[in-house]
Amino acid sequence: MKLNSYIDLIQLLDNYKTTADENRAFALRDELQSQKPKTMLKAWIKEYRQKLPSLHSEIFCKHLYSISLMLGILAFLLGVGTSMGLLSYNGSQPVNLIYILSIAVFIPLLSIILTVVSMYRAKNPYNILVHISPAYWLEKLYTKIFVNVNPYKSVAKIDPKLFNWIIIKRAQLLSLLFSVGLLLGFMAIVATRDIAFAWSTTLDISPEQFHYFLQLLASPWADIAPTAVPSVEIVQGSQYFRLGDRLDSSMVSKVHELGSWWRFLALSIFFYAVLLRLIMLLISSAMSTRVLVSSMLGTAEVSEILSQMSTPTLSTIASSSEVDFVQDERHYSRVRELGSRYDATLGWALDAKHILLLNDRWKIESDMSIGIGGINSIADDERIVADLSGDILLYVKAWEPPTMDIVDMIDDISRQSSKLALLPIGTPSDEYRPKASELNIWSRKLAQYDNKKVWLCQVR
Amino acid sequence: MSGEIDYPQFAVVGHPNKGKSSIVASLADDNSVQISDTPGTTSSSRSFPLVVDGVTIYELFDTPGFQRARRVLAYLQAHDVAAHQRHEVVSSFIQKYADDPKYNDEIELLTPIMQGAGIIYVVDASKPYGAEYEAEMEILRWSGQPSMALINHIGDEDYTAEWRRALEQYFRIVRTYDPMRVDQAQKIDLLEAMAQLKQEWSRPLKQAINLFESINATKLRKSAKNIAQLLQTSLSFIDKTKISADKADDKEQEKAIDSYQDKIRKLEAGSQKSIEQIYNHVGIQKSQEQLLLDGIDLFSKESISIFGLSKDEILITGVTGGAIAGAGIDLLFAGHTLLVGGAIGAVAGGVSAYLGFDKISDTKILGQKLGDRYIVLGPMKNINFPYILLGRAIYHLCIISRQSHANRKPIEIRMDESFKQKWLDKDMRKSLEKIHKRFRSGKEIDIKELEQYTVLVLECIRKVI
Repeated sequence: MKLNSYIDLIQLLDNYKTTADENRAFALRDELQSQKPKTMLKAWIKEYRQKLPSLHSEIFCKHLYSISLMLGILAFLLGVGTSMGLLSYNGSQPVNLIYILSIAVFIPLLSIILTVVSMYRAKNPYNILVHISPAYWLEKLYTKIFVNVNPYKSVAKIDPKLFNWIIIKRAQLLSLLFSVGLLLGFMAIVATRDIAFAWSTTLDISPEQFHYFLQLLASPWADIAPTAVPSVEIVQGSQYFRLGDRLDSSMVSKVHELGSWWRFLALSIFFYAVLLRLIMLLISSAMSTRVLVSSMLGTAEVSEILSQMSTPTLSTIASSSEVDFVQDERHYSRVRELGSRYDATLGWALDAKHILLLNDRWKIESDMSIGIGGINSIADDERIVADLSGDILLYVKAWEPPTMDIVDMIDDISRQSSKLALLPIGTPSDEYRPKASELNIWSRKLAQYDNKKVWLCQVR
Repeated sequence: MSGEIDYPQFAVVGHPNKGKSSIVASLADDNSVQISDTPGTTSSSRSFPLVVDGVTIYELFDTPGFQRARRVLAYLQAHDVAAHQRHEVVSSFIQKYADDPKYNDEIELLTPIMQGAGIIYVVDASKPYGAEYEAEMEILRWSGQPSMALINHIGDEDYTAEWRRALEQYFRIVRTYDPMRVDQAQKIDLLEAMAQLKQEWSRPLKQAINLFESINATKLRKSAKNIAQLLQTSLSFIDKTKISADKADDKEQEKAIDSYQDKIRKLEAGSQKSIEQIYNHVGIQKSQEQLLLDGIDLFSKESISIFGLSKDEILITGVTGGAIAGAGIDLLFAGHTLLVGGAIGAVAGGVSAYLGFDKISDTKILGQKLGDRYIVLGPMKNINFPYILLGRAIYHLCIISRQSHANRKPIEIRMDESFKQKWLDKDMRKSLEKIHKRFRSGKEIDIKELEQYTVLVLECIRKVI
């Protein structure tokens, strides 16, 4: 994952919305659904960036490359120039290697220590150590100027923690180029001119102490190039005092020894300015990639996309839309109170025993009590109906909605009878009294057919 | 009449008004299915396929109720055929009466059955058994399709025993199922029963069960994440209300508290809406006690900002500005100053920004002070508040996750005091409190910390769901 993928992602999240179905279909198509999140996201960005009319990442990375190249060349030349400055030697005085060590070893070491501290604090968006870097301000300025220009709208949304790491990495790169320039400049000058090195300081340091210090400095690479570490004698012979403004004749006779310091200095510059800086660059590269990936994977939108890619799309909705049910609110108008005498009492899906019980309950007298519907066949019922005449009472179960079977039967009975009284009954636990809601259902159903011979009865 | 369909199909059939559509709605998690206590609401068969990644796993049919069962049975029984030929008679009935409106409902419910659908026959055992059902059960037996019966309870009475005695004579499997109160475990039980109807159906239905279980786990995780985010946002939430003087008066304090409370409630409402969306209960009607912050000490202080920057932000700007100025001097001396210029500039910039902040804020231009005054409420310091909010969120999740899509009544969310004991013990409180402290600190929360908190919230949820 690179910075351009990150910018592509920001641009996609702002401008191109994919649905859950699209994301899942894409994952299935490319068999990504069980891959690692990083792989899934990379593939997703690659797939959908093609849909964008123009890529901010390409424009931005081109600009960034140009700036980096320019700064890099500048840093390199500055390094070369610095080494030329450090090694400026006119033959009358030796070059003070303490000065070279300060610029080429101690300052890089100090800045590396500061870099380590800033790396440790990089997760804090307000990181002074990062904000001090000129690279930070240059890039901030650049972004501010071009904030309404397309690529920089996306760049402005980069996670501040990632931004810190980009600055740290950029600073290491520039420092490395400076150090390489410094080393190459040093080597070029040492190869093309004779330089006499000496050490000069106001501090009260004996040659033996200075030698010990040099051994400490050389300890990382002393085993590889032991001859590069100057001996005590060379150290003794290299101490220089500026009083008199002339070279000591003994130093002039040992000019070869004074020149031999170049190996020590070259290896010190290589180790402390170049190699350590290279390690810092690699660490900052690795960390910025890590933070880049975690920034990309850490946003809520990306989590949602990855979840959609890994989760099967499930649909249980109807394949066709339902016909809207419009309730007929008409109620049956022919309602009367239950009588006490009928020519026949019938029970829909009720046996004769039950009907007699109901007759007794409602104090009904009738000449005939018989069950219809239920397990009776159509033919059985036709025979019963054929014998009917006069006023008929039909008990129906109020809790059972009127089906067309009952409606047909009501029709048939009403043709045979002079009057048909319909009585919906409740359950035994309700003392056979129907619920109001159940009665409403029956009333609305009867209103649809409006048979003048049929009366809906209410219990006393 | 068997089609070339290679996934299980089930027709939910029965007498009108016995809960067929409610059962389909609860199994399909679809609250768009029309449910009414008026018979005849369903007038045609509708299919509800379970489609996973574009592949149909099984299909449910919601059908109209039997209207003229005895006449259909009379037609079938008029054909004196052996048992193995009965299904052909049913098919011939469909062919003969396909365009007859008198038998529209029977055609609608028998067609998917004769195309290979298994039968799920629904009855209401809150009412007494009636012999009129036997015509329907006999018709279904003639179809020859594997069948099961579901005993629903719409009312309060219970006649299950007499229903079972009758149903077990006609159906291979008889189960009780209340679509209004069914939970995920009961749905899975039903699917397992359906899988037993035919051997070939076992695998796809097991796949569906695994899928539902995995989706249910995903829903819980998403809900836990949502709740964790709510807690993090609420506890770290800071509300600024502008005030006129250096100190807020009573009215301004009250206004600030109302504003803070209102925003916290909005955060809670937003989180609840997201969870309702996760469970496909969009637009659900509910009644719930409002979140009260009365008696909770809301940490407040007055603060000043200049051009929208706080004192800390001005300090950083001062330091870096000073460092740049000092670094310019270093450059001038080609680095011989060893960046001391930059260091001095940073310190000078920081100190002047810090000391000058109050003075600058008091400076007036055209009668207006440069600095704005605010009363700041939050982050929430009350230790019990997160547990109140978390308890409400978990309780809401419990209700929503258990809410059947067949149940269209408004829900009441009333948590009792004992609920907290079900999910919060001493150890859990300790673990949660560590992270609540981080939320309250106002510092940026690492994504890993939020994930850790989500895991804890999920643990609490699993204790009650």
